[in-house]
Amino acid sequence: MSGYTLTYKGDLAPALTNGSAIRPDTLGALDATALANFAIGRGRRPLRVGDAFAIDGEPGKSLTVCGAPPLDQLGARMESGCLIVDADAGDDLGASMRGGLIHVRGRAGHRVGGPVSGSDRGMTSGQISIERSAGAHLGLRMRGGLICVGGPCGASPGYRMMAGTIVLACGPVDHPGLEMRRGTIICLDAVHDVSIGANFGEDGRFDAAQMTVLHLIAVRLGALNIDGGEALRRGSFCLLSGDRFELNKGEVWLRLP
Amino acid sequence: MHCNLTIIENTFAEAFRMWASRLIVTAASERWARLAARQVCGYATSVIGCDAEAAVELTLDAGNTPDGRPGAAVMMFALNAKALGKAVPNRVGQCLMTCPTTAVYDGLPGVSKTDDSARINVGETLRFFGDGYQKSKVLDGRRYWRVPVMDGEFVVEESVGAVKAIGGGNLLVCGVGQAEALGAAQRAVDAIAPLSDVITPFPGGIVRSGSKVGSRYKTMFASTNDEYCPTLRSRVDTKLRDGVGAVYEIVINGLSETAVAVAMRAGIEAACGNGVIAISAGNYGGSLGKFHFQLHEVMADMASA
Repeated sequence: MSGYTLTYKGDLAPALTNGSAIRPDTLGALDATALANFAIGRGRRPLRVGDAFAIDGEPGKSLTVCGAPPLDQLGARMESGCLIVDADAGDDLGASMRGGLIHVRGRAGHRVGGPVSGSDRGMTSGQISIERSAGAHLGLRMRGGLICVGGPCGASPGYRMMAGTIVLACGPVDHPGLEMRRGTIICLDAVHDVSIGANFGEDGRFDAAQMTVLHLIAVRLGALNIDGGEALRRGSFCLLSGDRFELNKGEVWLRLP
Repeated sequence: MHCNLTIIENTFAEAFRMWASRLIVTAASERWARLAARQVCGYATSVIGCDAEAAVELTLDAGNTPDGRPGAAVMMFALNAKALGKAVPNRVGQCLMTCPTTAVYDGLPGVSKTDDSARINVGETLRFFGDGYQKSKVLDGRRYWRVPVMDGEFVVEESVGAVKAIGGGNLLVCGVGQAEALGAAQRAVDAIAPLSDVITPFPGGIVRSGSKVGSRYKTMFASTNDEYCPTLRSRVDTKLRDGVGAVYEIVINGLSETAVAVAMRAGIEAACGNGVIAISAGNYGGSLGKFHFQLHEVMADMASA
Protein backbone atom coordinates (compact mmCIF):
# COMPACT_ATOMS: atom_id res chain seq x y z
CA MET A 1 0.00 0.00 0.00
CA SER A 2 1.49 3.31 -1.05
CA GLY A 3 1.72 6.23 1.34
CA TYR A 4 4.02 8.39 3.42
CA THR A 5 6.57 7.32 5.99
CA LEU A 6 7.21 9.81 8.77
CA THR A 7 10.55 9.28 10.53
CA TYR A 8 10.99 11.11 13.81
CA LYS A 9 13.95 13.48 13.81
CA GLY A 10 15.04 12.48 17.31
CA ASP A 11 16.77 15.03 19.49
CA LEU A 12 16.48 17.62 16.75
CA ALA A 13 12.69 17.50 16.96
CA PRO A 14 10.70 19.77 19.25
CA ALA A 15 8.79 18.08 22.04
CA LEU A 16 5.67 16.37 20.79
CA THR A 17 3.29 14.38 22.95
CA ASN A 18 -0.03 14.44 21.15
CA GLY A 19 -0.37 12.51 17.90
CA SER A 20 -4.09 13.05 17.29
CA ALA A 21 -3.41 14.86 14.00
CA ILE A 22 -1.46 11.90 12.66
CA ARG A 23 -4.16 10.12 10.66
CA PRO A 24 -3.77 8.40 7.29
CA ASP A 25 -7.17 9.59 6.08
CA THR A 26 -6.26 13.27 6.43
CA LEU A 27 -2.47 13.33 5.94
CA GLY A 28 -2.40 10.71 3.20
CA ALA A 29 -4.26 12.94 0.76
CA LEU A 30 -1.81 15.86 1.05
CA ASP A 31 1.13 16.48 -1.26
CA ALA A 32 4.59 16.48 0.32
CA THR A 33 4.75 20.27 0.78
CA ALA A 34 1.31 20.53 2.32
CA LEU A 35 2.16 17.57 4.57
CA ALA A 36 5.36 19.22 5.81
CA ASN A 37 3.37 22.36 6.64
CA PHE A 38 0.49 20.54 8.31
CA ALA A 39 0.07 21.68 11.93
CA ILE A 40 0.29 18.81 14.42
CA GLY A 41 0.89 20.68 17.64
CA ARG A 42 -0.91 23.46 19.39
CA GLY A 43 0.71 25.92 21.76
CA ARG A 44 2.84 29.02 21.76
CA ARG A 45 4.74 27.91 18.70
CA PRO A 46 2.87 26.10 15.96
CA LEU A 47 4.43 22.75 15.27
CA ARG A 48 4.33 21.25 11.80
CA VAL A 49 4.82 17.72 10.52
CA GLY A 50 8.06 18.78 8.81
CA ASP A 51 9.47 20.14 12.11
CA ALA A 52 9.28 16.78 13.83
CA PHE A 53 9.47 14.23 11.03
CA ALA A 54 11.48 13.47 7.92
CA ILE A 55 8.96 12.75 5.17
CA ASP A 56 9.36 9.98 2.64
CA GLY A 57 6.97 8.43 0.13
CA GLU A 58 3.93 9.65 -1.72
CA PRO A 59 0.24 10.31 -1.06
CA GLY A 60 -1.68 7.13 -0.32
CA LYS A 61 -3.92 5.29 2.07
CA SER A 62 -1.12 4.06 4.31
CA LEU A 63 0.84 6.16 6.81
CA THR A 64 3.87 4.82 8.68
CA VAL A 65 5.33 6.54 11.75
CA CYS A 66 8.88 5.50 12.69
CA GLY A 67 10.98 6.15 15.76
CA ALA A 68 8.65 8.60 17.48
CA PRO A 69 8.25 8.79 21.26
CA PRO A 70 4.99 7.26 22.52
CA LEU A 71 2.52 9.79 21.16
CA ASP A 72 -0.95 9.99 22.67
CA GLN A 73 -4.14 9.79 20.61
CA LEU A 74 -2.50 8.38 17.51
CA GLY A 75 -5.20 7.65 14.92
CA ALA A 76 -7.88 9.27 17.06
CA ARG A 77 -11.19 9.71 15.20
CA MET A 78 -9.62 8.10 12.14
CA GLU A 79 -12.14 6.88 9.56
CA SER A 80 -10.17 4.98 6.92
CA GLY A 81 -6.71 4.04 5.73
CA CYS A 82 -3.90 2.22 7.46
CA LEU A 83 -1.72 3.67 10.22
CA ILE A 84 1.46 1.74 11.02
CA VAL A 85 3.31 2.75 14.16
CA ASP A 86 6.85 1.40 13.99
CA ALA A 87 7.46 2.38 17.61
CA ASP A 88 5.52 2.49 20.87
CA ALA A 89 2.19 4.31 20.98
CA GLY A 90 1.05 6.43 23.92
CA ASP A 91 -2.36 6.55 25.57
CA ASP A 92 -5.70 6.72 23.75
CA LEU A 93 -4.50 4.97 20.59
CA GLY A 94 -7.35 4.96 18.06
CA ALA A 95 -9.64 6.88 20.38
CA SER A 96 -13.18 7.07 18.96
CA MET A 97 -11.86 5.52 15.77
CA ARG A 98 -14.55 4.97 13.11
CA GLY A 99 -12.77 2.85 10.52
CA GLY A 100 -9.49 1.80 8.99
CA LEU A 101 -6.62 -0.12 10.43
CA ILE A 102 -3.95 0.65 13.04
CA HIS A 103 -0.96 -1.60 13.57
CA VAL A 104 1.54 -0.93 16.36
CA ARG A 105 4.85 -2.79 16.18
CA GLY A 106 5.68 -1.92 19.80
CA ARG A 107 3.60 -1.30 22.89
CA ALA A 108 0.51 0.86 23.41
CA GLY A 109 -0.63 2.85 26.43
CA HIS A 110 -3.93 3.02 28.29
CA ARG A 111 -7.45 3.13 26.83
CA VAL A 112 -6.68 1.71 23.37
CA GLY A 113 -9.81 2.21 21.23
CA GLY A 114 -11.51 4.17 24.01
CA PRO A 115 -13.37 7.46 23.74
CA VAL A 116 -11.71 10.76 22.93
CA SER A 117 -11.73 13.19 25.80
CA GLY A 118 -15.23 14.48 26.42
CA SER A 119 -16.96 11.61 24.63
CA ASP A 120 -18.63 8.50 26.00
CA ARG A 121 -18.12 6.52 22.80
CA GLY A 122 -15.08 4.41 22.17
CA MET A 123 -14.12 3.10 18.77
CA THR A 124 -17.08 2.10 16.60
CA SER A 125 -15.40 0.30 13.72
CA GLY A 126 -12.04 -0.63 12.25
CA GLN A 127 -9.17 -2.72 13.56
CA ILE A 128 -6.30 -2.12 15.96
CA SER A 129 -3.51 -4.64 16.33
CA ILE A 130 -0.65 -4.29 18.80
CA GLU A 131 2.34 -6.61 18.57
CA ARG A 132 3.55 -6.18 22.15
CA SER A 133 1.75 -5.02 25.30
CA ALA A 134 -1.09 -2.59 25.99
CA GLY A 135 -2.05 -0.57 29.06
CA ALA A 136 -5.13 -0.60 31.24
CA HIS A 137 -8.75 -0.23 30.14
CA LEU A 138 -8.11 -1.53 26.64
CA GLY A 139 -11.32 -1.07 24.59
CA LEU A 140 -12.88 1.27 27.14
CA ARG A 141 -16.50 1.98 26.11
CA MET A 142 -15.75 0.31 22.78
CA ARG A 143 -18.79 0.12 20.48
CA GLY A 144 -17.50 -1.92 17.56
CA GLY A 145 -14.46 -3.07 15.63
CA LEU A 146 -11.65 -5.39 16.55
CA ILE A 147 -8.64 -4.99 18.86
CA CYS A 148 -5.89 -7.62 18.99
CA VAL A 149 -2.97 -7.56 21.44
CA GLY A 150 0.02 -9.86 21.00
CA GLY A 151 1.47 -9.30 24.47
CA PRO A 152 0.02 -8.79 27.95
CA CYS A 153 -2.35 -5.94 28.71
CA GLY A 154 -3.19 -3.92 31.81
CA ALA A 155 -6.19 -4.14 34.10
CA SER A 156 -9.80 -4.36 32.95
CA PRO A 157 -9.66 -4.80 29.20
CA GLY A 158 -13.12 -4.17 27.72
CA TYR A 159 -14.19 -2.03 30.67
CA ARG A 160 -17.75 -0.74 30.01
CA MET A 161 -17.54 -2.23 26.52
CA MET A 162 -20.76 -1.91 24.48
CA ALA A 163 -19.92 -4.04 21.42
CA GLY A 164 -16.99 -5.18 19.34
CA THR A 165 -14.30 -7.81 19.67
CA ILE A 166 -11.08 -7.94 21.72
CA VAL A 167 -8.55 -10.75 21.23
CA LEU A 168 -5.83 -11.05 23.88
CA ALA A 169 -2.96 -13.41 23.06
CA CYS A 170 -1.20 -13.25 26.44
CA GLY A 171 -2.24 -13.31 30.05
CA PRO A 172 -2.54 -12.87 32.90
CA VAL A 173 -5.77 -10.97 32.33
CA ASP A 174 -7.13 -8.86 35.15
CA HIS A 175 -10.94 -8.58 35.21
CA PRO A 176 -11.83 -8.58 31.53
CA GLY A 177 -15.19 -7.13 30.54
CA LEU A 178 -16.00 -5.42 33.82
CA GLU A 179 -19.36 -3.68 33.40
CA MET A 180 -19.52 -4.74 29.76
CA ARG A 181 -22.94 -4.66 28.11
CA ARG A 182 -22.29 -6.51 24.86
CA GLY A 183 -19.23 -7.57 22.91
CA THR A 184 -16.70 -10.36 22.83
CA ILE A 185 -13.41 -10.74 24.71
CA ILE A 186 -11.25 -13.74 23.82
CA CYS A 187 -8.31 -14.74 26.02
CA LEU A 188 -6.07 -17.10 24.03
CA ASP A 189 -3.47 -17.69 26.75
CA ALA A 190 -4.29 -21.06 28.29
CA VAL A 191 -1.51 -20.86 30.88
CA HIS A 192 -1.76 -17.63 32.84
CA ASP A 193 -4.62 -16.82 35.16
CA VAL A 194 -7.64 -14.75 34.28
CA SER A 195 -9.33 -13.12 37.24
CA ILE A 196 -13.02 -12.73 36.68
CA GLY A 197 -15.73 -12.04 39.23
CA ALA A 198 -19.10 -13.57 40.00
CA ASN A 199 -20.69 -10.93 37.81
CA PHE A 200 -19.95 -13.34 34.94
CA GLY A 201 -21.83 -16.63 34.66
CA GLU A 202 -20.17 -19.74 33.33
CA ASP A 203 -21.96 -21.31 30.35
CA GLY A 204 -19.62 -24.25 30.02
CA ARG A 205 -16.85 -25.68 27.93
CA PHE A 206 -16.98 -25.60 24.13
CA ASP A 207 -14.68 -26.75 21.40
CA ALA A 208 -13.96 -23.97 18.95
CA ALA A 209 -15.17 -26.29 16.18
CA GLN A 210 -18.65 -25.89 17.59
CA MET A 211 -18.65 -22.08 17.63
CA THR A 212 -18.88 -20.65 14.13
CA VAL A 213 -18.36 -17.09 15.32
CA LEU A 214 -14.85 -18.01 16.53
CA HIS A 215 -14.09 -19.29 13.02
CA LEU A 216 -15.27 -16.01 11.54
CA ILE A 217 -12.98 -14.09 13.89
CA ALA A 218 -10.14 -16.50 13.06
CA VAL A 219 -10.57 -15.82 9.34
CA ARG A 220 -10.58 -12.09 10.04
CA LEU A 221 -7.33 -12.38 12.03
CA GLY A 222 -5.81 -14.33 9.16
CA ALA A 223 -6.78 -11.60 6.70
CA LEU A 224 -5.02 -9.09 8.95
CA ASN A 225 -1.92 -11.31 9.29
CA ILE A 226 -2.43 -11.64 13.02
CA ASP A 227 -1.55 -14.86 14.87
CA GLY A 228 -4.16 -16.66 16.93
CA GLY A 229 -6.40 -18.01 14.19
CA GLU A 230 -5.24 -21.57 14.72
CA ALA A 231 -6.01 -21.43 18.45
CA LEU A 232 -9.43 -19.99 17.65
CA ARG A 233 -10.20 -22.84 15.26
CA ARG A 234 -8.80 -25.74 17.23
CA GLY A 235 -8.81 -24.78 20.92
CA SER A 236 -11.27 -25.47 23.70
CA PHE A 237 -12.84 -22.55 25.49
CA CYS A 238 -14.78 -21.75 28.62
CA LEU A 239 -17.61 -19.33 27.85
CA LEU A 240 -18.60 -16.75 30.45
CA SER A 241 -21.52 -14.36 29.98
CA GLY A 242 -21.91 -11.02 31.67
CA ASP A 243 -21.72 -8.51 33.13
CA ARG A 244 -24.77 -9.50 35.18
CA PHE A 245 -25.09 -6.00 36.56
CA GLU A 246 -25.36 -4.66 33.04
CA LEU A 247 -27.19 -6.14 30.01
CA ASN A 248 -25.58 -9.56 30.52
CA LYS A 249 -25.09 -9.85 26.75
CA GLY A 250 -21.31 -9.71 26.74
CA GLU A 251 -19.13 -12.79 26.47
CA VAL A 252 -15.65 -13.74 27.59
CA TRP A 253 -14.00 -16.78 26.02
CA LEU A 254 -11.17 -18.29 28.05
CA ARG A 255 -8.97 -20.77 26.25
CA LEU A 256 -8.53 -23.98 28.22
CA PRO A 257 -5.25 -25.89 28.49
CA MET B 1 -24.98 -27.57 -38.38
CA HIS B 2 -23.43 -30.75 -37.02
CA CYS B 3 -21.37 -31.45 -33.94
CA ASN B 4 -19.86 -34.90 -33.58
CA LEU B 5 -22.57 -36.61 -35.76
CA THR B 6 -25.36 -34.79 -33.94
CA ILE B 7 -27.50 -32.18 -35.70
CA ILE B 8 -27.62 -28.79 -33.99
CA GLU B 9 -31.03 -27.41 -34.91
CA ASN B 10 -31.32 -23.87 -36.24
CA THR B 11 -33.46 -22.62 -33.37
CA PHE B 12 -33.11 -20.70 -30.13
CA ALA B 13 -33.61 -21.12 -26.41
CA GLU B 14 -35.96 -18.52 -25.04
CA ALA B 15 -35.00 -17.27 -21.60
CA PHE B 16 -36.55 -14.63 -19.40
CA ARG B 17 -35.76 -12.15 -16.66
CA MET B 18 -35.41 -13.51 -13.13
CA TRP B 19 -33.78 -12.31 -9.93
CA ALA B 20 -31.07 -14.32 -8.22
CA SER B 21 -29.31 -14.59 -4.88
CA ARG B 22 -26.29 -16.65 -3.97
CA LEU B 23 -25.93 -18.15 -0.51
CA ILE B 24 -22.72 -19.61 0.87
CA VAL B 25 -23.69 -22.48 3.15
CA THR B 26 -21.03 -23.93 5.45
CA ALA B 27 -21.04 -26.73 7.99
CA ALA B 28 -18.72 -28.64 10.30
CA SER B 29 -17.98 -31.31 7.68
CA GLU B 30 -18.27 -31.81 3.95
CA ARG B 31 -21.06 -34.29 4.58
CA TRP B 32 -23.20 -31.77 6.44
CA ALA B 33 -22.39 -28.96 4.02
CA ARG B 34 -23.58 -31.19 1.19
CA LEU B 35 -26.72 -32.24 3.07
CA ALA B 36 -27.57 -28.66 4.01
CA ALA B 37 -27.10 -27.39 0.49
CA ARG B 38 -29.24 -30.20 -0.90
CA GLN B 39 -31.97 -29.57 1.68
CA VAL B 40 -32.30 -25.85 0.99
CA CYS B 41 -32.69 -26.61 -2.73
CA GLY B 42 -35.57 -29.02 -2.19
CA TYR B 43 -38.83 -28.49 -4.06
CA ALA B 44 -37.29 -25.70 -6.11
CA THR B 45 -37.34 -26.84 -9.73
CA SER B 46 -39.61 -24.36 -11.47
CA VAL B 47 -41.49 -21.24 -10.47
CA ILE B 48 -44.48 -22.77 -12.24
CA GLY B 49 -45.13 -24.49 -8.93
CA CYS B 50 -42.34 -23.60 -6.49
CA ASP B 51 -41.47 -20.39 -4.64
CA ALA B 52 -38.00 -20.37 -6.21
CA GLU B 53 -35.68 -22.27 -8.52
CA ALA B 54 -32.61 -23.34 -6.62
CA ALA B 55 -29.61 -25.61 -6.94
CA VAL B 56 -26.05 -26.02 -5.78
CA GLU B 57 -23.79 -23.89 -7.94
CA LEU B 58 -20.42 -25.13 -6.66
CA THR B 59 -19.01 -27.01 -3.72
CA LEU B 60 -16.42 -24.99 -1.83
CA ASP B 61 -13.48 -26.33 0.11
CA ALA B 62 -12.67 -24.96 3.54
CA GLY B 63 -10.19 -22.42 2.24
CA ASN B 64 -12.81 -20.66 0.14
CA THR B 65 -15.60 -19.97 2.62
CA PRO B 66 -16.12 -17.02 4.99
CA ASP B 67 -15.60 -19.13 8.13
CA GLY B 68 -12.96 -21.56 6.86
CA ARG B 69 -15.29 -24.58 6.97
CA PRO B 70 -16.40 -26.77 4.07
CA GLY B 71 -19.35 -25.37 2.18
CA ALA B 72 -21.32 -24.89 -0.97
CA ALA B 73 -22.57 -22.02 -3.06
CA VAL B 74 -26.29 -22.23 -3.67
CA MET B 75 -28.18 -20.01 -6.10
CA MET B 76 -31.87 -19.20 -5.86
CA PHE B 77 -33.94 -17.63 -8.63
CA ALA B 78 -37.42 -16.09 -8.55
CA LEU B 79 -39.45 -13.98 -10.95
CA ASN B 80 -38.90 -10.75 -9.02
CA ALA B 81 -37.06 -9.38 -6.02
CA LYS B 82 -40.14 -9.48 -3.81
CA ALA B 83 -40.76 -13.17 -4.45
CA LEU B 84 -37.10 -13.92 -3.86
CA GLY B 85 -37.26 -11.89 -0.66
CA LYS B 86 -39.92 -14.27 0.66
CA ALA B 87 -38.42 -17.52 -0.62
CA VAL B 88 -34.86 -17.03 0.64
CA PRO B 89 -35.54 -16.38 4.35
CA ASN B 90 -38.25 -19.07 4.42
CA ARG B 91 -35.91 -21.65 2.94
CA VAL B 92 -32.96 -20.61 5.13
CA GLY B 93 -35.15 -20.66 8.23
CA GLN B 94 -36.72 -24.05 7.62
CA CYS B 95 -33.89 -25.90 5.89
CA LEU B 96 -30.62 -24.38 7.14
CA MET B 97 -31.30 -23.04 10.61
CA THR B 98 -32.67 -26.49 11.41
CA CYS B 99 -29.71 -28.31 9.90
CA PRO B 100 -26.90 -29.36 12.29
CA THR B 101 -23.81 -27.09 12.38
CA THR B 102 -24.68 -24.89 9.39
CA ALA B 103 -24.00 -21.21 8.84
CA VAL B 104 -25.20 -19.00 5.97
CA TYR B 105 -23.40 -16.12 4.28
CA ASP B 106 -24.02 -13.72 1.43
CA GLY B 107 -22.53 -14.99 -1.82
CA LEU B 108 -23.03 -11.62 -3.54
CA PRO B 109 -21.37 -9.25 -1.06
CA GLY B 110 -21.03 -5.70 -2.20
CA VAL B 111 -24.37 -5.77 -4.04
CA SER B 112 -26.37 -2.80 -2.83
CA LYS B 113 -29.91 -1.64 -3.48
CA THR B 114 -30.30 -0.12 -6.95
CA ASP B 115 -32.78 -0.47 -9.80
CA ASP B 116 -30.99 -3.64 -10.89
CA SER B 117 -30.15 -5.12 -7.51
CA ALA B 118 -31.52 -5.47 -4.01
CA ARG B 119 -30.70 -6.63 -0.52
CA ILE B 120 -32.77 -9.47 0.91
CA ASN B 121 -33.09 -9.68 4.66
CA VAL B 122 -32.18 -13.10 5.98
CA GLY B 123 -30.52 -12.88 9.40
CA GLU B 124 -32.40 -9.65 9.95
CA THR B 125 -35.63 -11.68 9.91
CA LEU B 126 -34.46 -15.00 11.33
CA ARG B 127 -32.75 -13.45 14.35
CA PHE B 128 -36.10 -13.15 16.10
CA PHE B 129 -36.07 -16.93 16.55
CA GLY B 130 -33.47 -16.10 19.20
CA ASP B 131 -36.24 -14.64 21.35
CA GLY B 132 -34.07 -11.85 22.72
CA TYR B 133 -30.96 -14.00 23.20
CA GLN B 134 -29.71 -13.37 19.66
CA LYS B 135 -26.46 -11.47 19.28
CA SER B 136 -24.83 -9.93 16.26
CA LYS B 137 -21.19 -9.61 15.34
CA VAL B 138 -19.90 -7.11 12.80
CA LEU B 139 -16.63 -8.11 11.15
CA ASP B 140 -15.12 -6.09 8.33
CA GLY B 141 -18.38 -4.24 7.74
CA ARG B 142 -20.59 -7.33 7.47
CA ARG B 143 -23.16 -8.08 10.19
CA TYR B 144 -23.69 -11.68 11.21
CA TRP B 145 -26.56 -12.72 13.48
CA ARG B 146 -25.91 -15.43 16.03
CA VAL B 147 -29.07 -17.27 17.01
CA PRO B 148 -28.68 -19.59 20.00
CA VAL B 149 -29.76 -23.13 19.05
CA MET B 150 -29.39 -26.48 20.71
CA ASP B 151 -26.04 -27.37 19.09
CA GLY B 152 -24.52 -23.95 19.75
CA GLU B 153 -25.24 -21.00 17.52
CA PHE B 154 -26.76 -20.59 14.08
CA VAL B 155 -24.73 -17.87 12.33
CA VAL B 156 -26.50 -16.14 9.46
CA GLU B 157 -25.55 -12.98 7.62
CA GLU B 158 -27.95 -10.09 8.07
CA SER B 159 -28.81 -9.79 4.38
CA VAL B 160 -27.83 -11.23 1.02
CA GLY B 161 -27.48 -9.53 -2.34
CA ALA B 162 -29.99 -10.09 -5.15
CA VAL B 163 -29.39 -9.20 -8.77
CA LYS B 164 -31.23 -9.29 -12.05
CA ALA B 165 -30.46 -12.60 -13.73
CA ILE B 166 -31.67 -14.96 -16.43
CA GLY B 167 -33.87 -18.03 -16.12
CA GLY B 168 -34.93 -20.59 -18.65
CA GLY B 169 -31.88 -21.05 -20.83
CA ASN B 170 -32.27 -24.59 -22.12
CA LEU B 171 -31.23 -27.48 -24.32
CA LEU B 172 -33.31 -30.35 -25.67
CA VAL B 173 -31.31 -33.52 -26.04
CA CYS B 174 -33.00 -35.77 -28.65
CA GLY B 175 -31.78 -39.36 -28.52
CA VAL B 176 -32.67 -42.56 -30.30
CA GLY B 177 -33.96 -44.01 -27.04
CA GLN B 178 -34.37 -43.15 -23.39
CA ALA B 179 -30.99 -44.57 -22.33
CA GLU B 180 -29.10 -42.71 -25.06
CA ALA B 181 -30.88 -39.41 -24.38
CA LEU B 182 -30.41 -39.69 -20.63
CA GLY B 183 -26.74 -40.59 -20.94
CA ALA B 184 -26.17 -37.58 -23.16
CA ALA B 185 -28.13 -35.26 -20.86
CA GLN B 186 -26.08 -36.50 -17.90
CA ARG B 187 -22.88 -35.74 -19.78
CA ALA B 188 -24.18 -32.24 -20.44
CA VAL B 189 -25.07 -31.65 -16.78
CA ASP B 190 -21.68 -32.95 -15.69
CA ALA B 191 -20.00 -30.52 -18.08
CA ILE B 192 -22.06 -27.60 -16.73
CA ALA B 193 -21.60 -28.53 -13.04
CA PRO B 194 -18.13 -27.02 -12.52
CA LEU B 195 -19.11 -23.70 -14.16
CA SER B 196 -19.76 -20.73 -11.90
CA ASP B 197 -22.71 -18.32 -12.16
CA VAL B 198 -25.11 -21.01 -13.46
CA ILE B 199 -27.36 -23.70 -11.99
CA THR B 200 -29.49 -26.49 -13.45
CA PRO B 201 -32.39 -26.60 -10.98
CA PHE B 202 -34.25 -29.73 -12.10
CA PRO B 203 -33.71 -33.25 -10.69
CA GLY B 204 -30.10 -34.11 -11.43
CA GLY B 205 -30.19 -31.06 -13.70
CA ILE B 206 -32.55 -32.80 -16.15
CA VAL B 207 -36.27 -32.32 -16.97
CA ARG B 208 -38.36 -34.95 -18.68
CA SER B 209 -41.63 -33.03 -18.56
CA GLY B 210 -40.70 -30.07 -20.71
CA SER B 211 -43.61 -27.66 -20.88
CA LYS B 212 -45.25 -25.27 -23.27
CA VAL B 213 -47.05 -22.11 -22.26
CA GLY B 214 -50.81 -22.55 -21.79
CA SER B 215 -53.15 -25.51 -22.02
CA ARG B 216 -56.57 -26.54 -23.28
CA TYR B 217 -57.64 -26.39 -19.61
CA LYS B 218 -58.40 -22.96 -18.20
CA THR B 219 -56.69 -23.58 -14.86
CA MET B 220 -53.37 -24.71 -16.33
CA PHE B 221 -50.91 -22.08 -17.51
CA ALA B 222 -48.28 -24.63 -18.49
CA SER B 223 -48.75 -28.07 -19.98
CA THR B 224 -46.78 -30.83 -21.65
CA ASN B 225 -44.59 -29.91 -24.60
CA ASP B 226 -46.52 -32.18 -26.98
CA GLU B 227 -44.38 -31.32 -30.00
CA TYR B 228 -41.48 -33.13 -28.33
CA CYS B 229 -43.38 -36.08 -26.84
CA PRO B 230 -42.39 -39.19 -28.83
CA THR B 231 -45.68 -40.99 -28.14
CA LEU B 232 -47.68 -38.17 -29.76
CA ARG B 233 -45.72 -38.09 -32.99
CA SER B 234 -48.67 -39.08 -35.19
CA ARG B 235 -51.24 -36.90 -33.40
CA VAL B 236 -49.54 -33.50 -33.19
CA ASP B 237 -47.41 -31.24 -35.34
CA THR B 238 -44.26 -32.91 -34.06
CA LYS B 239 -40.85 -31.32 -34.00
CA LEU B 240 -39.06 -34.62 -33.57
CA ARG B 241 -36.80 -35.87 -36.31
CA ASP B 242 -37.18 -39.41 -37.53
CA GLY B 243 -35.66 -41.94 -35.18
CA VAL B 244 -35.90 -39.83 -32.00
CA GLY B 245 -37.30 -41.97 -29.19
CA ALA B 246 -36.78 -39.77 -26.12
CA VAL B 247 -36.00 -36.14 -25.29
CA TYR B 248 -34.56 -34.60 -22.16
CA GLU B 249 -34.38 -30.90 -21.39
CA ILE B 250 -31.65 -29.17 -19.42
CA VAL B 251 -32.76 -25.85 -17.97
CA ILE B 252 -30.00 -23.38 -17.16
CA ASN B 253 -30.44 -20.33 -14.95
CA GLY B 254 -27.54 -17.92 -14.77
CA LEU B 255 -26.37 -14.57 -13.51
CA SER B 256 -25.64 -13.24 -17.01
CA GLU B 257 -26.29 -13.95 -20.69
CA THR B 258 -22.64 -14.89 -21.08
CA ALA B 259 -22.79 -17.39 -18.22
CA VAL B 260 -25.88 -19.05 -19.70
CA ALA B 261 -24.37 -19.16 -23.21
CA VAL B 262 -21.10 -20.63 -21.92
CA ALA B 263 -23.03 -23.31 -20.04
CA MET B 264 -25.20 -24.08 -23.08
CA ARG B 265 -22.26 -24.65 -25.35
CA ALA B 266 -20.45 -26.74 -22.71
CA GLY B 267 -23.61 -28.83 -22.42
CA ILE B 268 -24.08 -29.20 -26.18
CA GLU B 269 -20.47 -30.21 -26.69
CA ALA B 270 -20.69 -32.88 -24.02
CA ALA B 271 -24.08 -34.21 -25.11
CA CYS B 272 -23.39 -34.64 -28.82
CA GLY B 273 -22.34 -38.05 -29.98
CA ASN B 274 -23.49 -41.53 -30.90
CA GLY B 275 -27.19 -42.13 -30.25
CA VAL B 276 -27.98 -38.43 -30.07
CA ILE B 277 -29.81 -37.41 -33.22
CA ALA B 278 -30.23 -33.71 -32.51
CA ILE B 279 -29.82 -30.92 -30.01
CA SER B 280 -32.67 -28.47 -30.03
CA ALA B 281 -33.96 -25.80 -27.66
CA GLY B 282 -37.29 -24.70 -26.24
CA ASN B 283 -38.90 -21.47 -27.30
CA TYR B 284 -42.34 -20.00 -27.55
CA GLY B 285 -41.89 -18.01 -30.72
CA GLY B 286 -40.31 -15.17 -28.79
CA SER B 287 -43.44 -14.33 -26.79
CA LEU B 288 -42.25 -15.40 -23.35
CA GLY B 289 -38.78 -14.07 -22.79
CA LYS B 290 -36.53 -11.37 -24.08
CA PHE B 291 -33.31 -13.40 -24.07
CA HIS B 292 -32.85 -15.56 -27.17
CA PHE B 293 -29.91 -17.94 -27.32
CA GLN B 294 -29.51 -19.07 -30.96
CA LEU B 295 -27.89 -22.50 -30.87
CA HIS B 296 -25.83 -21.81 -33.99
CA GLU B 297 -24.54 -18.55 -32.51
CA VAL B 298 -23.72 -20.24 -29.22
CA MET B 299 -21.72 -22.86 -31.13
CA ALA B 300 -20.09 -20.25 -33.35
CA ASP B 301 -18.96 -18.42 -30.21
CA MET B 302 -17.32 -21.65 -29.20
CA ALA B 303 -15.51 -21.95 -32.50
CA SER B 304 -14.18 -18.42 -32.23
CA ALA B 305 -13.37 -18.63 -28.50
